[in-house]
Parts: sequence; C-alpha cells; structure tokens
Amino acid sequence: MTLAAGMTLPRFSFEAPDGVGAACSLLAQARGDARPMAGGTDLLVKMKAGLLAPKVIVSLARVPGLDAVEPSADGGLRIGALASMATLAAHPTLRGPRAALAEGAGSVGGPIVRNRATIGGNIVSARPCADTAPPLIALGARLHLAGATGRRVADIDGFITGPGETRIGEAEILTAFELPRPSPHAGSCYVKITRRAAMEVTVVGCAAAVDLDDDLRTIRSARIVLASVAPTPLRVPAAEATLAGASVSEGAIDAAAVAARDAAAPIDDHRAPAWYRREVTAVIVRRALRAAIERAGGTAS
Amino acid sequence: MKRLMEVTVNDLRREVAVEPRRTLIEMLREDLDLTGTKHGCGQGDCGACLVLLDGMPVNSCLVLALEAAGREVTTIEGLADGTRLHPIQQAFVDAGAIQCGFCTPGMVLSAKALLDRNPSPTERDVRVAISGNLCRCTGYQKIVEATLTAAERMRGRASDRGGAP
Repeated sequence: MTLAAGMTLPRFSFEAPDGVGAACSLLAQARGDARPMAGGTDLLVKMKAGLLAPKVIVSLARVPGLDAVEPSADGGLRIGALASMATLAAHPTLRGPRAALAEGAGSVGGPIVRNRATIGGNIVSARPCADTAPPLIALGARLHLAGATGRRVADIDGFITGPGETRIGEAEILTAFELPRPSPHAGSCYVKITRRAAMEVTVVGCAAAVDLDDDLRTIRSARIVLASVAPTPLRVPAAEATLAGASVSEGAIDAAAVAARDAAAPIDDHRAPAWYRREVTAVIVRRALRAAIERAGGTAS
Repeated sequence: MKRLMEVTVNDLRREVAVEPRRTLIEMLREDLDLTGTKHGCGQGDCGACLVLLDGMPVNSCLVLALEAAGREVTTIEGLADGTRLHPIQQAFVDAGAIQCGFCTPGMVLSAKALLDRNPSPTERDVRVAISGNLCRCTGYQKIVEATLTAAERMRGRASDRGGAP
C-alpha cells in the first residue's frame, strides 16, 4: 500500500557531508536547486505540501559540532545552529539574563517536534511567529555564516527581511549564534499567547531584555521584540526609548507596553483578529518586562 | 536511485535499500512490514508516527530513512517481551486507555521516553510529555492515569530488584 498523495516527498538526491565547507560546495554546485536541512521539521512539511522541490537536500546532521552549545572566550555563549529546541529549553546557561531564549525554544510546537527542530532552522525559515527570533534579537545575538567563498558574521537584527526571507546567501549556511556576555544586572523573558498550550502557532509573542544600573532601581537599557505582529520579528525602539534611564516602576512598564501596542502592525487571520493581537501585545509586554526586571534583581523605587 | 543503508530496529540490525525521499515511517511500514507505527497527519502535528531514534521520540513522518542510517530505532513492536506486554502497554490495557487505538503506539512510546528519563513523573509531566500526541477519541484522562500507573509499577519492580530500572 502506498500512502496518500501529499504525504510522499518529491524526488531529490541526498547528501550528508561531514564538513561545513563540503556542504557549502554542494549548495554552490546546485545553483539554487539545493536546500540545507537541519531538523527537517519545516523543510519536509513544505516539500510534502508542494511548496518546495529542491533537487538536492544537503543534510547538516553529520557535520561534527554544529549542535554544540559552549561558552566563548569573552564570556559570551556560542550556540550551534543545529542545537535542538529541546536542548536549548533545558540548557543551564540559558537562565536569568538569557532565560528568554530557553522560554522561546521551549515553547515551539510540542515536545516531539522540539527534539528535531533546530534554532538555526527557526531563524532561516523566518516565519513571523518564530519563537526564538525575538529572544535572539533581544539578547543581541550575532550570526556566524559560512559560504563557499568564506565566512562572515552578521547582526541578527535586520537579518530576517520578510516571511520566509532572510539575508542568507544562496550557498551560505548559518553555523552558529553568538550571544554577548550579559551585563551584571541583566534579565530577560519571553511570553507568548497561543490558543492551546502546545502544538500551536504563536498569536503574539514578546521578548524583553533589560540591563539595570548597580542601584537595581534604574533601567540602563532594554530591548523589546515582538513575534506575530508584523511580517518580520518586530523590534520596538519607541518602547526601548521609554525604558532607557527610567526608574523601575509600573508606570515605565506601562509606557513601554503602550508604545509596543502602537508599533504592532498585525493582520487578521483564523488564529486571531488584528485588534486582539494589538491589545494583547500590551498585556504580554508588561508580563515579559516584569519578569525580566525581576530576573535582573530589580526592585521598584 | 536507491541507496543501501544499515539501521538497528528493535535491536535487530537491518539492511534496507531506500530512495532518498523515503521517510522513516515509510521504510518501517513498507520495507520492514512494521505496521504498528501509524501514519496520521504526515506533518509532525499528531504524533501517531512517533518512534524512538536513539531513545529520543521523533515523528517518523518528518525523518528521512537515510537520516536513521547507523542509528537505533525503537517502534511499538519492540516493546513487548515475547507475548508479555511491556508494563506501559499492560497499564494502558488495564486502564482502558485505548479507544480506537490509532494514537496508542505513539502514546505508549511517548510514555516510555518519559519514564526512561523520569521514573517518577507528576501528572503535569505526563501531560506535557504527551502534548505532541493527539487522541481524536479524546481519551487523555485514561492515558495519563495509565502512564502514572505504569510508572508506579515499574518503580516497584525496580525496588524489588534493589536498583534503578
């Protein structure tokens, strides 16, 4: 018995090189007809749906070390692009200042999907609802990319340019994320709204990251980044500006929440109407900020 | 073009020739006749096709067969010891945690993956662990109870033997 149409994959050839250089060469040779594959939870679904039909799949699973999560020399953290959502959700380095990333990764899909889905795939597939994108932007991640002609480092802010669109080159592979060393009084949080607790696409998400002054009563700087309210993850400079230099207070949190709500440009779809997304944006910005401030050790003045 | 691969399925080493586009579930059901693994949504949403890949639960509809080369796969057929059911399977039977049965192989394997790493789960742990497995009969309550019963029985056996399971 064969499976129903729409369940089988179109034909392709399969490569599983053991190095990034070899993988980039295979992509370059295929001239746009190849796709790198990490966990496959997005790519294979799109191929079954007939949205993509690459002639070559280049699996990155056998490249050693691409899933490693390790401290970098300057106190930062290097996260391999093939680190799974399950690994990141439980990772001991993603607490306090970096908790938003564990919360984002741990909220993707369900537990079985998280065993395969990778952080690199989440960014390169570039859905507006990608749950690791706002935390990575809020934490100031840098991207490490490898191509047939060399390597480069890019800021994640601005890397995603539209639904499914990024600044990655045709024969480039995203190899790692680098998070900077957090300042002494930093905290972050990711909060999202979904219709169910699991296996659901984010209606609205918010990552908040704050740095506090040594007095723990003043916000030195903050980042607010939203999911699912625009064609790309949406950083909200207006909200960040209201927080910079402000005293830790419900008033400051409220002002940021209002600025974020005003910046949100969501659409109506079957998951939620735009008006709901806007209203709930303010709610979750407050929740994420309160938690981030608490994790940073902050106290209201 | 088909490629030859080796994979260990339920502790047996198998050699299979597969096309690159063959998914793991297709290989299990159609090449190895292991039809206990069920094909549901085909998109990773329902968990009916769940198998353990090196002990980790995955949706076999979203894994290429070639990705399993050199690795160990456990399907529902690998759980019973001869005619003796695995304690999780027995607990599902005892609790009436099976209605139409379509989700059962995936549910039992999700429960196994949970109990392998956490022998004393809370009810919430169980609900989170099976949150990627859909039961369209909506029989979740019995499934949760059966998993907790199985955990209790397996802990009992482990302590009878004076060691960890």
